[in-house]
Amino acid sequence: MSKEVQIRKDGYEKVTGRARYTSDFKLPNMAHGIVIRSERAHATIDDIDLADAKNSEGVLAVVVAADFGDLQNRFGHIVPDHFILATSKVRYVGEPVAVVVAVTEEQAFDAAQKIWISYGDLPEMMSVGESLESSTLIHEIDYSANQEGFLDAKPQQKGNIAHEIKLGWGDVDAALASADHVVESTIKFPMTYAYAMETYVSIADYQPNSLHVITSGQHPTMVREELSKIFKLPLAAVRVEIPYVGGGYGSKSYTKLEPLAAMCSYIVGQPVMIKTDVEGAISTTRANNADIVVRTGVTKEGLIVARDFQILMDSGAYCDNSPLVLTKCAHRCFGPYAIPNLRVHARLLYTNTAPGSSYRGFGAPQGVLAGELNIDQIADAIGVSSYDMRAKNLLGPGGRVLPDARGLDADIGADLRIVVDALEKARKPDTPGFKREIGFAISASDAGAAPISTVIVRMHYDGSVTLMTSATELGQGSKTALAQIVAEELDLSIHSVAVAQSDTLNTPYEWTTGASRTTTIAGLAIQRACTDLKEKLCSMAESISPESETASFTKSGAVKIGSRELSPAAVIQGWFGAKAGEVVGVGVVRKHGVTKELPPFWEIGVIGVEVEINVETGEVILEHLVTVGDVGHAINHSMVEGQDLGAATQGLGGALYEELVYEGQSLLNPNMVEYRIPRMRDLPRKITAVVVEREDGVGPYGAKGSGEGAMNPIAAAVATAIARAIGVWPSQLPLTPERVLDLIKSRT
Amino acid sequence: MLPAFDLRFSSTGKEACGLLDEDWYVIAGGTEMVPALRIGALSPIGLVDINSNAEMRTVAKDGPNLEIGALVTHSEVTNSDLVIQHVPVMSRICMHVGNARVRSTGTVGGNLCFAEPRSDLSTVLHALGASIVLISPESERVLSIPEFLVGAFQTSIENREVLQKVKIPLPAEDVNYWKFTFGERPTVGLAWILRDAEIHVVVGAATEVPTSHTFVKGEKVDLESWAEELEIESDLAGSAEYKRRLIVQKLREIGVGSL
Amino acid sequence: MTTSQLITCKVNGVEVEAWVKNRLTVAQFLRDQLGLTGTKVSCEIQVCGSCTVLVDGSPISSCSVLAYRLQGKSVTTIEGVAERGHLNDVQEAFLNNFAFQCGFCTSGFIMMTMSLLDSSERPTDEEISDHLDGNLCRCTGYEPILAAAKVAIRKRFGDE
Repeated sequence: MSKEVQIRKDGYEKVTGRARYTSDFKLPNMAHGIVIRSERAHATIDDIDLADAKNSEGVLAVVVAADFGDLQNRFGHIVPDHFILATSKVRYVGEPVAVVVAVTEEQAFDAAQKIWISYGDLPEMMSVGESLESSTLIHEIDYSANQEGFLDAKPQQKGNIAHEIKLGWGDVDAALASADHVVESTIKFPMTYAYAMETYVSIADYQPNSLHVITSGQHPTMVREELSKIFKLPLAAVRVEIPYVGGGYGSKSYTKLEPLAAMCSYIVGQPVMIKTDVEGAISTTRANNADIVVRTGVTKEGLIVARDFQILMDSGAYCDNSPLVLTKCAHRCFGPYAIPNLRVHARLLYTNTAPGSSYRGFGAPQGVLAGELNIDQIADAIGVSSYDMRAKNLLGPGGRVLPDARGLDADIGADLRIVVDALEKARKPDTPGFKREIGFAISASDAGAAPISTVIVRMHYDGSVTLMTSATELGQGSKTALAQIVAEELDLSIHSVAVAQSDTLNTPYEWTTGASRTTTIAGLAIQRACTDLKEKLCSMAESISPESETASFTKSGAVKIGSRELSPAAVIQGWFGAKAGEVVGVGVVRKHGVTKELPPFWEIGVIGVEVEINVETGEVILEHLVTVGDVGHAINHSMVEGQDLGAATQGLGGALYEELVYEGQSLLNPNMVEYRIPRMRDLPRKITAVVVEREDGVGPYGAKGSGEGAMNPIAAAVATAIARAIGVWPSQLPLTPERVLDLIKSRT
Repeated sequence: MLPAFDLRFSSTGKEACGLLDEDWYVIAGGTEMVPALRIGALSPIGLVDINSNAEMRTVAKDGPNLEIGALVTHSEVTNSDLVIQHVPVMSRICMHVGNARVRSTGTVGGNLCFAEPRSDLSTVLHALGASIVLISPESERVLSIPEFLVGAFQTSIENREVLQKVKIPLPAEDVNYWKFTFGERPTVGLAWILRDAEIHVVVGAATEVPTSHTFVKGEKVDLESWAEELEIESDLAGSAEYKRRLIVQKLREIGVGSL
Repeated sequence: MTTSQLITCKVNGVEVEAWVKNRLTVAQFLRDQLGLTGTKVSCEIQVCGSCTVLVDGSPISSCSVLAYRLQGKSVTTIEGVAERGHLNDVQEAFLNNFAFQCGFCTSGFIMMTMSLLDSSERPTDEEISDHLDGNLCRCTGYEPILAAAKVAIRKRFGDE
């Protein structure tokens, strides 16, 4: 790509502190809401004493569910089970029960100290095991009934089971019975917290027949849909505006605080801002933990004959996006291998913990950990190398991971070769007190979500362009990458391309910003919009031409008509007869043509690590990290590498450091001192980042998605490396120093 | 959001004592106080700000002691010529407390009074035989570290007392310090002095208060049993058993319990 | 009984006189009272560093220092770094090295790096890493931030 830039479009703003995030906004006469949260995991709300709070200085209202009138008090894009404010009972510690709205934040805070709630305890279920066995229901009413489903997920609640999937083919039991070897692995993937450094914050301004929301979110059109339903407003009357976002990673997908902020504004009649601190953010959404048992049967040469996965995933008290995470976990756990017989039985359980929802990788980190660890255990059991075990069974380009899905648009075997070569070349020997070992893993995710996108490209009368898209800049660099595509298509300088901010009042429909879909889907739409624009310019040139000539758009961004070349600016000004006007190109993507087959692309992850284990303390450092961005075409190489390193680092968190721990009803570590994420001290000593461009995607110039691939296999790669070094396979992540030491002890 | 509180200012130690009332606390750097206010661990009516007490901001050699004023920050300890010359271990450990922001703001006095077990200062000061000078409206008390630090987040400071300074006897013994950190705070800290016939150790961070023991050189010791006697709690950084194991390993490494 | 203090301080070189509530933090003072929203608030427990500002040249966690403490002091925030819109060496290095993604930790990292450059001696690689280990980033995986800091250090101290 010739228009690759070395400076991001949002760069100047971000290094000068001028980039505005939601909490930097102040609307006129904006009030502040402080959320009162449940102190019980499962209890009836017997009494709420609001009198003192209501009479407190500056308080405009103390909002409870009863104040919503006949407006729907629940939301949820898959299952509308999520109470905006708790009604008769609470389902997790941290659940919003009331909001104190006051003129200043201090006044709201002071009044909030005067609220007394009395609860009637109900049996609490803090783990999937407990909720599976219990006869007490977390949700007495089945909100999944009569729902349309969402993408691949159509849940049907059964007791505390929020969603259940059975998929597969062939006869697994027979195949396992006659296999030469069957190896079983059991693994627990921890409950983690995305820790977007900007915690959830929403501002809502409700006026009769109009609702304006400014929010730190990922999907403006999805939030608009929920708010439109709740407030019974037409879509056009609901405006969702998203400024810069301080991290999303999937944790800000769909709808979170917006209905609550909107309800408060509706009740007090002025704009309301609601912020969260870290504890409040964890109480809003955390990522799904899962317990997985996998059995794989192989021939003595190591060819897979059958795989069986039993998945139990924890949804927390409300399901949010978890049913889709479960679905994708089921699709991504068994890997891009030739599997003649497959059974995946996956269940999503409600528990009385914070709501679980999507996080980078979207079910793949959990599933791939189990599937890939198991592959390496088999390799060990039958005496085949990890590489050979995979090479024998890997699907090649065009291979069918799922029977009705697009064939693999990637050469994973080649990617794996790159990783293994890089690891082997740099291998270091053991030294006294330190063991070193390599591990690698692969993943293929049916990513891309839904291919629905409309993009508008507005060319001004000087030939410069404004790109209008609801693809949201979360830090991943979409603003820059999409601008680069415009610049490439129209042969413009990147400085001549402005990108509008995500705002449903102004920017056209984008399904979501997630599932690594933006470059591919919005990128395709941009190409189509530019084609439309070029056609319009040509048509305009023809209509103002004195001769009857045909016009065409040249590679150097000009309109060639007859023997002349006109700049687009000259065409526009000529056509309008003044230094005025603009031309608009529209591009649309839907489930049609190159994006008819789903997924729009397979997101590939191939990761290699060399770990160094301190055998005295159990500490693990990465000696070497190898990432491969198999992206078809890199719109911006630095940004692809940045996504891979960022994703790998987040994945490393779940592998070695991160775990939300419940003790009794509450979390022990809802803060950043006790919840440990990767830090600069944890940087791998050597990083090999490779970008592979085989132009095998349907996106612009052969592009595919990027952003989650590196997160998916890293936990498995690290766990395998540690297991090989020690000689014991782990059953639980994160592999903290103590757990590693315990594994070492169990060996002797 | 922080709760409301009243505020008074003092420019001398005695004045500060006089301003302290029931449910009033002293505030210095605030690196422990402000987070404590935020989570509601402390709910004072008011704070007495002592930051302009010039007498508490100095490091001085006074006869046989090095005196570090309560308001000296960790980074000031790190960079003090007197500390580097006379008690270099203090400079080394203060360089690695928290992060650069905590070091520029947090004070020695504040660190000791908050008495967070997962701390390095108290362990090393214990090994150095340091004493704490507390002043009150009428008098002055001098306490050893074990007399001052009596439990997790508990000191023997009384209501109208202010920690004025820390005294380290000179010449300081050669204290070594090692810590193991998994998360934000140290998990296990060990200070030790290799003397002619003995090894004096102080275990900290994992224990509620720094705990000392003097091992005789060359004497065989059942270190595992000894470690069992230490009062150690399990937490997210590791189980008590894991922490004991780390301690025992390090003790062996420095020569304790071997013939 | 007092609820506020009258303070006079310098913010980005400009003298400011203001009444600040006792309970107000420096971060709140800067963001809410002065409208300087470039300083961010995240963990509120001094570990993430996104609220870092320089007070008399030293880095502080502005979320955990009370605003009245600014009396007589000089504060530098991210807004005071560029000179008439011209980026300083640290900002340039961050910009050119893709040393940010979402940008929420960026102000803090830039202020921390600037405090590192303040020393008279060239910091060693270990010192750079130790110093910046005091800030969290969730997007980049740290490597480009470290690279940018090293570029700024080379610019200030010359090549090794």
